[in-house]
Amino acid sequence: MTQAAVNPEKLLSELRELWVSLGENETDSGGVLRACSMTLVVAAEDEEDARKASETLAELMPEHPSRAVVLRFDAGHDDTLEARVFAQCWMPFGRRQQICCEQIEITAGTGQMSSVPGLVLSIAAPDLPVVLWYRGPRWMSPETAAGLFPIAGKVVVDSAASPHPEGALRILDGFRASRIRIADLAWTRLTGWRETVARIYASPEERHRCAAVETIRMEYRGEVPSTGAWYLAAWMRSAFPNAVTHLEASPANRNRILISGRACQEVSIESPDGVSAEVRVDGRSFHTMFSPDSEKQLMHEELSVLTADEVFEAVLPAAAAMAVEGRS
Amino acid sequence: MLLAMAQAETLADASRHPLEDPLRFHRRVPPCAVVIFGANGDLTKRKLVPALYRLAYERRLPAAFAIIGNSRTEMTDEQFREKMRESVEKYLENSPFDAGLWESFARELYYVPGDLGDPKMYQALSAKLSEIESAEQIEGNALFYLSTQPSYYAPTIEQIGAAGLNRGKGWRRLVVEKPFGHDFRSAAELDQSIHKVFPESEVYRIDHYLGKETVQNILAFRFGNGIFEPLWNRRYVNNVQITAAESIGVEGRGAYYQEAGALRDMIQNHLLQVMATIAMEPPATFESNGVRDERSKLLRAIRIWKPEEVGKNSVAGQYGPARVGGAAVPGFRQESGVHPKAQTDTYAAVTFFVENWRWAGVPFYVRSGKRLAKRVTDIAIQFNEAPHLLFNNDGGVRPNLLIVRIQPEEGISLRFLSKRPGSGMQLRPVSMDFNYGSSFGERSPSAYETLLVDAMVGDATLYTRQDMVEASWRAVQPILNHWGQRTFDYPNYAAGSWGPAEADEMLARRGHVWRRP
Repeated sequence: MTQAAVNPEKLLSELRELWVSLGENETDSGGVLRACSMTLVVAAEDEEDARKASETLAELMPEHPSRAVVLRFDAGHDDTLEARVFAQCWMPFGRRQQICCEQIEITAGTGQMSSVPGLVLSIAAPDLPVVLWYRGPRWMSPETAAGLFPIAGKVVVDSAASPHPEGALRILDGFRASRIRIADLAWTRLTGWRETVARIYASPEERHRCAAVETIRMEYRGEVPSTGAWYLAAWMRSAFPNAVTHLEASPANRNRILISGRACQEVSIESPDGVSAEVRVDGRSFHTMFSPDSEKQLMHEELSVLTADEVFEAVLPAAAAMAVEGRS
Repeated sequence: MLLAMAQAETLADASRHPLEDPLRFHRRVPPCAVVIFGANGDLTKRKLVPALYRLAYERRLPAAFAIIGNSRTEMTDEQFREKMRESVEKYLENSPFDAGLWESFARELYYVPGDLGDPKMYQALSAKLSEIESAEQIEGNALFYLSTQPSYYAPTIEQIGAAGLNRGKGWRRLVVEKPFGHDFRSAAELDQSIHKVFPESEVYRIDHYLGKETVQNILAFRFGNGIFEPLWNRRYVNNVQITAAESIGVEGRGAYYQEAGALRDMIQNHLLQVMATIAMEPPATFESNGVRDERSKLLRAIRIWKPEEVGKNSVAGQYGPARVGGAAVPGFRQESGVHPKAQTDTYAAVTFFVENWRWAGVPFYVRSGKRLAKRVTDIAIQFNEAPHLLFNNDGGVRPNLLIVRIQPEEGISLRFLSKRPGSGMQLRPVSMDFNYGSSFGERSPSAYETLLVDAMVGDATLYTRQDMVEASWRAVQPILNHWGQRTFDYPNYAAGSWGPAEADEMLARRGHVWRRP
């Protein structure tokens, strides 16, 4: 199929026909309910990644009904530009009415990448936010940012697997500085950790004692601190401004935070599995749950935050600076 | 790797403390103990402890937290924990049970056996609170939850006061379940008992309807959007119908229900609160007393019927036996525990008027009943007809209708007229639906999760206040008085129907008809 074959008007017309046919098929069972709260554009790396993305989308749709656009890069065929429409439907438990969301799949070769932003813009659901979820590492290339990022009100990436955390943080901070509303799933993964720390220091007395914290020791898995470790270190430093922060590889290959000071309580938070944590505060211990570290759960959190995320936007430059500082 | 402290750009520049992240963190519940009187009862087992466990699952509870249960049954802490575990596993809704979390949660469960009238029990409770205070650092905060029979409310509160449990290093709050009295006078007496021990600011009267997501959504719908409020008045609204219908009967609660009836059990509290939410003026701020002041003002503006007006503006009903769906269904008087000549209203319908500028002349028809045609709770706002009919709408006059559905399928529908496809100009009504469940598929917290967090946080927005309770009793008291003096010829509606014919006549007198939800 050539570029001319992917006509946005035709795609929208196919979507309309799809809804008509869904409605015709379901007249006896209460009909189909159409739901849409945003356009969610998912940029997948390849066919396999697009398949995985579609599975996550199916899980996300009940909570964030969207017009989903899945972009698949086809490195093998330079001139490829294809598109198809279909519906994701589900029957909520105990209800008679099917709920459906529409999905458009676009396959683009390298030579057609420049056509994609315009195509996506013309098929986005009117008057609703556009969120771009960039899977894989392509978001780090300047061409990508120049093309697809401006069409979205929010861009979600995942820097966790980046082999160069310092470079990734620098690029992300560059996006922030150029007013792209960027979100990083490496930051999203920290919500459970951050909330646990915040709860320990929630009362006015404990909040006051933050100033008395002298040492923060953060142990991370792996050989070098990930972007997540830098984010957490930057956030901890802002919360405990007088503490010296040690960021070090864990000999036991575990993620752990130790907070101490002469005039404050000793705190240890350790998560062996990323799903729950054992917390010790001055010898007392309790168990707390983190949200599951699944793509669906992480994206659910990010799609729930469509306004400016001031905390992240403040942490990002601090983390980028600390990563440079730490490397040197 | 040692990280130096010098940092040009610090987060401390932000106006909010870095440990606060309202976009992603839940509201903070302060360290506290929840003391449940009636801990062996159904409400505790089915609702309260499962809701608290779920809050722990969601990381909503503080590290320093404890639950102390009390009832007459002799039990150790361990036995109480085991009992609560069984309840949580059985009644936890839409959530997985996590054994590891339970272990941590259960460590904070304690039990103090004893009679509510026995001062020694309160001394033991006080000792337990002190012990937990030093072990758990709950900062002296305690929430006393009355999950007992209403007749125990006043004596329990008195004993709490006598034992000095209403005072401590931190806050001390009281949660009271409805019913708040069985008439205006008893409600006032209960308030007197409460206020001898707790100030009104520390009293949380639970009406779980107000904790429902969709009832809260009424506030979002009305005051978060600009397009509806201009229509929300007597110039555009013709009448409002509030329906809370149940298809089931009294389900083993015959003895209790016989004394209560639909007017007391539903309309005086739940439905008048819903009516207040749908009709109140916009509060200046979404702050506890701001919202409650407006609800209270609305309730106080309800016209009080004179004795001679009650008959035309209220209808009592009681269901009789019938066959529903091929099965024989007993009448109310045939239910277990019910007197064979009971005069209980299993159905009540009332016409209310709100005497203010916004609503003058607009009837609010409120009805509730058991064994009606279907289970549904909704609010229908019927708008005035178009002033001049240009088109031949073959279905007759169909005014616009805005329906706020509370259960079973929460959502909002707008009915309007649309041209039928084809030549000619024939109109037919269509419905535009917003379905809460499909637009937000995520799990909604139960009403008790919402309300328990609110009480612990100190947010009374969704709780009823003394003046609201009194105002709603004042609105229904003349009806109760009138009905109390009559002998009704019950049953007057068949199970599975939409209630007695008199209810239709009540609306017909003003040229209206009940919707069939």
